[in-house]
Amino acid sequence: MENEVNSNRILGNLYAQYELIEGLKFKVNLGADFIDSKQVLYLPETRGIRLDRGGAAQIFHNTNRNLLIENTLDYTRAIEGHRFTFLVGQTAQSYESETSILRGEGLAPETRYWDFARNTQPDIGLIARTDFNDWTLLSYLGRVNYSFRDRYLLTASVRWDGSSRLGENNRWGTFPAASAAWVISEESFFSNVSQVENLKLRVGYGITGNTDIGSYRSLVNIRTDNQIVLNGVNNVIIGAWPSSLPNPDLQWERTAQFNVGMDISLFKGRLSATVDYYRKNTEELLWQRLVPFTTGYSRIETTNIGSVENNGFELGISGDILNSEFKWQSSVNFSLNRNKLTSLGPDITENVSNDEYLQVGQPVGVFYGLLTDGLFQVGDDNTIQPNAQPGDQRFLDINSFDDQGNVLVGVPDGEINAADRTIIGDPNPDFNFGFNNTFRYKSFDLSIFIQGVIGNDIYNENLNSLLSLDGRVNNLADANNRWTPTNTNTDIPRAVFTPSDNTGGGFRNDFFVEDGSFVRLNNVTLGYNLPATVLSKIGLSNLRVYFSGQNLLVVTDYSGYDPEVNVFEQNNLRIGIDNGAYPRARTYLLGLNIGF
Amino acid sequence: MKTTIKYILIVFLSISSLSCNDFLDESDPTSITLDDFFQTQEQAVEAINGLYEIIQDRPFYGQSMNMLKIDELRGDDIRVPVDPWNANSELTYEQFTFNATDGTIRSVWELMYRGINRANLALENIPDIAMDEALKNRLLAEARFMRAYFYFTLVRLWDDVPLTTTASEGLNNANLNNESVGTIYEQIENDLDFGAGRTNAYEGLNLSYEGDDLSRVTRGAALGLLARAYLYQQKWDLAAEAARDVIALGRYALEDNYGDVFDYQNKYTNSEVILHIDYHGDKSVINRAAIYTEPRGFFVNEVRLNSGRSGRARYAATWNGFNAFDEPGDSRRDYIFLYPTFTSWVRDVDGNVQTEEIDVSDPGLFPPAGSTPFIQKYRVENQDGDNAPRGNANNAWPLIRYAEILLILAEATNEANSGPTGESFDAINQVRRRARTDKGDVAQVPDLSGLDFNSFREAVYKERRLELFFEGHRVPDLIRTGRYNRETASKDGEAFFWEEKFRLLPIPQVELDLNQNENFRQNDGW
Repeated sequence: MENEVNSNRILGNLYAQYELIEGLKFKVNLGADFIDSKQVLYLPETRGIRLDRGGAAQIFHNTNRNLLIENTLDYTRAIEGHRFTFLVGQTAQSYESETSILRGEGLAPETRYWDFARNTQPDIGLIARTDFNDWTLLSYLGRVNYSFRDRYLLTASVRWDGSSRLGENNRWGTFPAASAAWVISEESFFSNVSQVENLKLRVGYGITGNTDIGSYRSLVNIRTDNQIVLNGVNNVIIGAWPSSLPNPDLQWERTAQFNVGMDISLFKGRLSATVDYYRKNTEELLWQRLVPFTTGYSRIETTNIGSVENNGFELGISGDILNSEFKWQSSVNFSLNRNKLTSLGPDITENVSNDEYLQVGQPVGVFYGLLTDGLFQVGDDNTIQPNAQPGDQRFLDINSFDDQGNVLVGVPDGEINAADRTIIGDPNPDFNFGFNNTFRYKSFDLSIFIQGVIGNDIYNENLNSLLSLDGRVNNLADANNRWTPTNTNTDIPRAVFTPSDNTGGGFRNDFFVEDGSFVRLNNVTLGYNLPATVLSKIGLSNLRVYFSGQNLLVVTDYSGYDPEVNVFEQNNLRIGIDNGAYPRARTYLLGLNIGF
Repeated sequence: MKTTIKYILIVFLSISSLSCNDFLDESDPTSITLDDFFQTQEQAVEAINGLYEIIQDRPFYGQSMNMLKIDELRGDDIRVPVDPWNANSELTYEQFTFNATDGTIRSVWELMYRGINRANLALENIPDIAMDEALKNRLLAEARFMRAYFYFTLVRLWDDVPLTTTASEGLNNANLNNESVGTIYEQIENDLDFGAGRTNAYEGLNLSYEGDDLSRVTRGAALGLLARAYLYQQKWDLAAEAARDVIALGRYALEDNYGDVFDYQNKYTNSEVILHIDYHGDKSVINRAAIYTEPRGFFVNEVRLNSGRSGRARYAATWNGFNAFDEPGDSRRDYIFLYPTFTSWVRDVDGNVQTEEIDVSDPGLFPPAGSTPFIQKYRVENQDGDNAPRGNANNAWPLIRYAEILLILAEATNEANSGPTGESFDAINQVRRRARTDKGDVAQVPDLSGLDFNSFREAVYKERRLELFFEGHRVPDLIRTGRYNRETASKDGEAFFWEEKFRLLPIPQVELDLNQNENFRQNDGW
């Protein structure tokens, strides 16, 4: 077996600067980042998984070219404590990526690797694939900085960005920003406050743009398929159709952020703290929006829709608690964020599918489904769920539809249907925190990092199959506690083999929602540094031995493997869903650092 | 120094004056885009071929065969057999436990509208292409046929549905309201009239095709679907007239033997099939009617008979359906069912096919003979000399065939005249004579005569049930004739949870959730 990856990277930066008159500088900066990587893989027939299939070989080749050119002109002038900097500039960036893959299957054992293409039967075993991706970004910018005696700091800037990824009509965006800071500790009236080293107040407002989407999303590709049969005896023919819903108006996602904060440092730097409050309004969100099938598609690949508001508070405190021979440094950070969908476009308050739910006024990502109320027992009235058997989940009838198909909240109608869905959980945490401690004594050091997320819900979809008893997957031991005529005091439904609508009409339900709060002992590292006296004798500048453990302990009520889950990493609307998520590994590391 | 400044400024200015829009222009080298498409004749043909991809797609009659769950398992003739293979979705249709979030329903709804949008796009763009005019008209007629077929499928399953004849751009087709059944049928008739040659604009689709185009829709198919659409609307005179027009084309005749209609080797030479969906086993464009009706294997006294019968049993007949073939000498029963004996085959070590006759009444047989009669109407046995991968059959799925046209004529003339005419008897008796095992024995499946209005109607209903057994007509027939009820939805007397609402399918929940039109509503009871 052979698996070799070769990567060559050329990272170049070249600049020229020229001072035209005093204080006025022109700078050209050229940046280039070329990555060329190639993988050769050979799996001989003797490998277990290749048995009876012959050997396989593959060449994977990828080239990335990222080019950047920046032209800036800046002018600095200082007069009696006033200092101005003006900057104008232009930048252009282009990115290209090419990929080609050649793969051969069913190779005879005697095949030499670099001869695989000739030894593969072209019709069945030779697979060749190519891909390409590129984008460009062009920007113009201007900025003014002003400061007075390092006490008052002002910055104002504006940039115009154009992105090739956006629709032809909406490539350009304008993004202004301004900020101010007051370093109070520099004021003369503060000079006698000796305990305070640094005190700074900050305030800022700015608009930023985002086009973090794939290329070609405003274009409609024509997909061709050569698998259409109109004379199946001999051959198949080609058909073609658009692969996505046209959206020529794709534009920048904009975030307007206001923040105010304070930095303080006390007792000669032994205690410092940073506190920030921010409010972010993101508009024209870039989303894959679900659309009704009557469009001929299930979603608009990428579109701008709606807006989201985030309010947050962040606090960080760090201090040297002991600073003698035994040193103890400690830092704590705390953050909370409140997220709310503020708009989905005109006249729209919801965007619903079984897996994604958006409602104006609610956080993004809330779970939407039915509420459960235990299980049906023998003899229970089941008129509301006529198919229900003893041991099936009982759902709550809370709402109904009116004649227009609108949901009448709080008006039950005697049946369980789509109207009864409600918000059953929120994957967004109440707050996050981190707590880091470092101890040093002589040549030893010990650091302990604890991390916590509190107040988030997880939708544990695993339970759906792990408690199902349909005989196709292994089950949790909890399945032993399922409802049976002799085990009625349980919330785990009876075993069913054939599907039925007793699972709540295929809707999500709160049986699967669990508290995902956790506190994790994320890292413990114990290290020993060889003393300098010993080092000098053996001619080393530094030698460190350390033992580190990651993910050592998790305190949580979550029943799944790992409360830090996100199966749909690519989709920020589907968060906190556990469905076969791979848990984090517990890692032990013994390390040695040597410096010569 | 001044020259240096000059050069630097030149660099600066030359970069700045790069035309912004050239630099930012986007084109995708991995794919042609809609702007480049619909420029040539070849592209026009490819766009129309994309409509055949819809009908060959998995959810329709392809790999998942979702249409058979909807059109057969909801009735009294077909059920999920003993010892099924992974038939959870099928069971929800047999037992009426599906609901508006069901994936089968969603997939069919989605597929139909995907096809409608492709047809609309083609119909908007092909007229502007400079190309052969005759071919252009043919392609437009193919697109209109497909659009009609998709709307017909929607309207018969859901009643009122959204109607659009414009291609999607942005959200123009996102928030449509339902249109009435009458309006949908009007559009269907309009579209079919064009391909049937009933307008002055076009003489009608090709009567037949050659070469690579054998499975395209023909004028006969347009007339045939028109006859069916009129039949479903109980426009009896128009249905009879369209059926007569198909017959008058003179191109179609009943095959001598019932089984020859379904023989995959006869699929391009068949005189009876007017429109089929074509499949190709080696190209993963497949229909699984054969493999899904085959038992998973028979065991005699717990010894597996052979590896030959190793299907994925998901569909079998009910005894009720089997016993409906109650006339002596009906060759259709012998062809359709594994009964009373069947041939079991297996390859021996030398690769030769060995066959064995198995008697289904063998008391040691599992599944036992009394469980469900298995169906073998669509067969993969010995296909391509038994070399074809099992399950990847080349069988075509019959959508419209001449026997159905004759039965439409028989039914429509009876209804239109409040009693059977000579034409009614002639049409139904053609179908019955062909069913005889011994074509010369008039006592087998005997000719009908002297029936009154009601008994002739019953006779046609029954003949359709037998002749079109497991072709997706049973449940639609029950519904359109007002006979769909708890009894005709039951399986051999085993009544599942059936309600009035099952006459229509529920609109997919995701569609209701996403469609912002406040008048767009779920069907009653769902």
